[in-house]
Amino acid sequence: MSNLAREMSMSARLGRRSFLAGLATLAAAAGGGTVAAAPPGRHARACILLWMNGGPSHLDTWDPKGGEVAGPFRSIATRAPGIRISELLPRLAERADRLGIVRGMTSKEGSHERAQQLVRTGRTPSPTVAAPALGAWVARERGDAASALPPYVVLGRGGGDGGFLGREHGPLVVAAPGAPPEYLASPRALGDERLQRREALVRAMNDDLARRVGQPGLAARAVVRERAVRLARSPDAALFDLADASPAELARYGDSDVGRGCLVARRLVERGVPFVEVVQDGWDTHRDGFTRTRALTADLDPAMSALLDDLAARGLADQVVVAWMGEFGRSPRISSDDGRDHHPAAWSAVLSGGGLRGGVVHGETDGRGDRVVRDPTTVADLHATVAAAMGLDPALTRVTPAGRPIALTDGGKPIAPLVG
Amino acid sequence: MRLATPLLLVTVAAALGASCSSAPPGAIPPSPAASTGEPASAGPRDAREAIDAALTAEWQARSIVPAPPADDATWLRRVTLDLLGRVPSEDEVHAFLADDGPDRDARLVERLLADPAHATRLARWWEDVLLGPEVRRGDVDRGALRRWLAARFARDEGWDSIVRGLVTAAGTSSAGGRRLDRVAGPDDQRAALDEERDVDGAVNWLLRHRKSPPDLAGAASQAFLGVPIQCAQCHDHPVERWTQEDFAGFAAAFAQVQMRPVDRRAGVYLVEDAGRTNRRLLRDELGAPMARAAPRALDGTDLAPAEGSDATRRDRLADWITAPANRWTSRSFVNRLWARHLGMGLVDPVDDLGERSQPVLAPLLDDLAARFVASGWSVRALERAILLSRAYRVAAAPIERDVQAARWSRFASRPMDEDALVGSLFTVLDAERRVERMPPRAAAAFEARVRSAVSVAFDEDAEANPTRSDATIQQMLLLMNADLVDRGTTAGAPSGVLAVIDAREGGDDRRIVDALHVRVLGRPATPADHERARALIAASGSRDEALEDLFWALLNGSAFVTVL
Repeated sequence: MSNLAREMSMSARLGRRSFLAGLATLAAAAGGGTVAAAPPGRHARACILLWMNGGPSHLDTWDPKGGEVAGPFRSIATRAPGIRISELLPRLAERADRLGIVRGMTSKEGSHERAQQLVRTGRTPSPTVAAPALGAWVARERGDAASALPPYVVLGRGGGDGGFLGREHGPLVVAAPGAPPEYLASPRALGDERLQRREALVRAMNDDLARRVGQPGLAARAVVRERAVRLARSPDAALFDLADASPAELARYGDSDVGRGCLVARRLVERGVPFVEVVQDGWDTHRDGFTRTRALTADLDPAMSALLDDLAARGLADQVVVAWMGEFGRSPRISSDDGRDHHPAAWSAVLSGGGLRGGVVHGETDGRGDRVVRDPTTVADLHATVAAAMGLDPALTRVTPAGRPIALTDGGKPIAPLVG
Repeated sequence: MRLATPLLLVTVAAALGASCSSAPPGAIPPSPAASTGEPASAGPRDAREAIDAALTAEWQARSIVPAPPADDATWLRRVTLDLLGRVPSEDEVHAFLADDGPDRDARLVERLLADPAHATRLARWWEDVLLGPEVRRGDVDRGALRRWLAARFARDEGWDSIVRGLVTAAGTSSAGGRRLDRVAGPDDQRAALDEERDVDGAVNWLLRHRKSPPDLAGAASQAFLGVPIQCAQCHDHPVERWTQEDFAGFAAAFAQVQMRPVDRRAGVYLVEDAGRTNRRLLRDELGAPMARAAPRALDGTDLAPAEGSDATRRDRLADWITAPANRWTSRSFVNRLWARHLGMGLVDPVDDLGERSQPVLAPLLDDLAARFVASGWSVRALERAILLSRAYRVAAAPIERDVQAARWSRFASRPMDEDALVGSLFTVLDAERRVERMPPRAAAAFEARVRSAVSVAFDEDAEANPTRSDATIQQMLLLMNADLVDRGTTAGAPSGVLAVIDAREGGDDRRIVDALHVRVLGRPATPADHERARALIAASGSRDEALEDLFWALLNGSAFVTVL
């Protein structure tokens, strides 16, 4: 099928706005190296990825079951008729009408490293492709060169990298969400003139080096340095610092890593950052799983709810996709250590906002949560859905330095019931 | 966490596409043809000559004109960074440039190889390969593993013996996980303590996978054999011929390992072979296949110990891995070391020597592997050969096409790794002197803080491809504004670097500028450098401020953090 034909058929599924998006990105891809023109029409301009590090148990969150696999937690009804989720997420249950719960996620990677690679980049880890993280793709295609804020930010320890797109599309990682990035300010007040002299000197030295040695990587360094300088000088850097947040606001999100991360993420996307990842660590619950899951959800529930509420209140719900996921699910069978082990065969992800439908469940697992029995969804499909919501063609290709075209998703197709 | 495999440009192998095995689909591929362990009888006398001959022939065949040799100062800085993980001091630079005795380069390499800092650097390298940079758990004592490795590298213990020690590691661990231990510690003191407490540092790499034993097999295979079999854990490998059965059989070699808590709160465990399958595995969805399978090496060799023998499955696995005929092991190590110094492995990426990857210069890889084995698996001998080779000597000239096509005809410049950046900052800013005046605990804590700050600023990637820039915004900000850099470059401190240089050079601006370039970049200032400095001094309000700015700019420029 030709590119244009694929675009046309995709447009039939996604509607007018994405058709125009498709044409624009097709043109850009043909052009080879340019940033995709922001397509006309409504589409999300940002994504907030809530990354549940370690692999969150689907049974104890979005896909509760009865019987011997249930563990101590029960299911509760939600605002969406017919949809029940874990009692551990009561506030999110109240907001289920805004959530697209994908219960049919399935993958084949059971080790943390490989699975995290897979879910962050949308591709099975392969030695021959330096796959960029989804955030890097968004940074490349939607990043605003004039902004002092980097287009791909990770709050907490995590994130992917730019892959073949280049190091300059990798994330700014702020390890402690709620605090500003480290080393933003010079310890001594040096004055603007002197700071500019310093930077001019560094630039001159680097130009000299580039003339003599001119190897790949040095150019990327120069770009990243410019970014760092701009960030350090910008008043927008204060957005990372929650010292000025009202106690009421902090209380709504919760003073946890994920709570503070969600609040900073909201501020960043309000200011135009197109991709922010918020990391909640600790989901690798092999031991003592239920105690830990209760603690994790106690932080997650208010944080994610506050985020959804604020985005809606500020008229940003359609403009921001909120995506919840981890690297795999956890075993229905409860281990002797009172935990659950890795389970890639069936797991859950949640998408909200960005024009996607809410109050919807897509995909179904068997009575134990072991296998997907209806509408299996791959990671590539999940990425394609986020991409489509943002007006990016899931088949958008860029060319590696070695000349090989790689697409944004590995054959992913947007989840029709969510984008419809 | 990030995958240990470096993510890279398309390899030549992928471009060629063909697999070289003739085994029927689904069968375990035959072991690479057995090597007698003898080097080629005719031809190059030693490994260095073999490298030079092979590359010269390759360049001629492809009409590649290699870059000219790098100048002495550049080469000194390069090799010091690579072997010791720091830039050379001003004294070391002057001494080397003034040395016109015979075999100057070989003598330098010998001295650096024997330096204890080199053993530690090799140990940090393998600590990161085996543990990954992100592991900070209470049950994994990184420092103990690092000291275990360093002791062996320091006496040039054969790589086969080191691998055996790791694969068969058993004993009591020590409490780990404290952040301090990830990054520092007066290691020789701690090493004595380890011995006293009968601690086995090697068990820590096993403990890393305590919660997920199936990962042990994949980790061992990737680290020691260069075969990333772990993807066959959940599905038949999409490209290579490894099946889930192959994985289970290989993993079964580890199925009798028990890791029992001795002191759970402190994170101390006893690692041993139970003589029977670890029952916990049977209950684990991914562990059950390995618990039931008969242990089998990647080429089908039966790893079950003989009836009545004392040997464990892991002993048999270690036998198989370190057999001279096992070219996976020798080629994997040779390739890793090659990539480490020359920027890109003969097989790329370094931990995928699977069937489909076709090494560039395959005969050279095989030759070097055979020599490695014949030398008693001497890491030092291999390093000697690579570092004194012509490829390691060429200058870092512009690369017209992609890195692979250049075939090591120009040096692949790369950013310093985290370890080297800390070491270099310490050297340039004379932090060693500051540290010497502190009590040992405070000194260790200071070094740990610096390492910790640098490690946060670095993108954490265990097998970062050296030719890729590791620039991150965090790293840039660190060099711009960290306290260490600011205080280290100030003219105000009476015993600071600038004050000391100023006094030593008698206040002569030109000599001070030269000294700063030698200190930071390992070479005197060029005429262009001097001109820039002169203009800066003229434009600044104060000469002291200008020198501070120059010193700071040298540290923030790309030349400082790049191995050229």
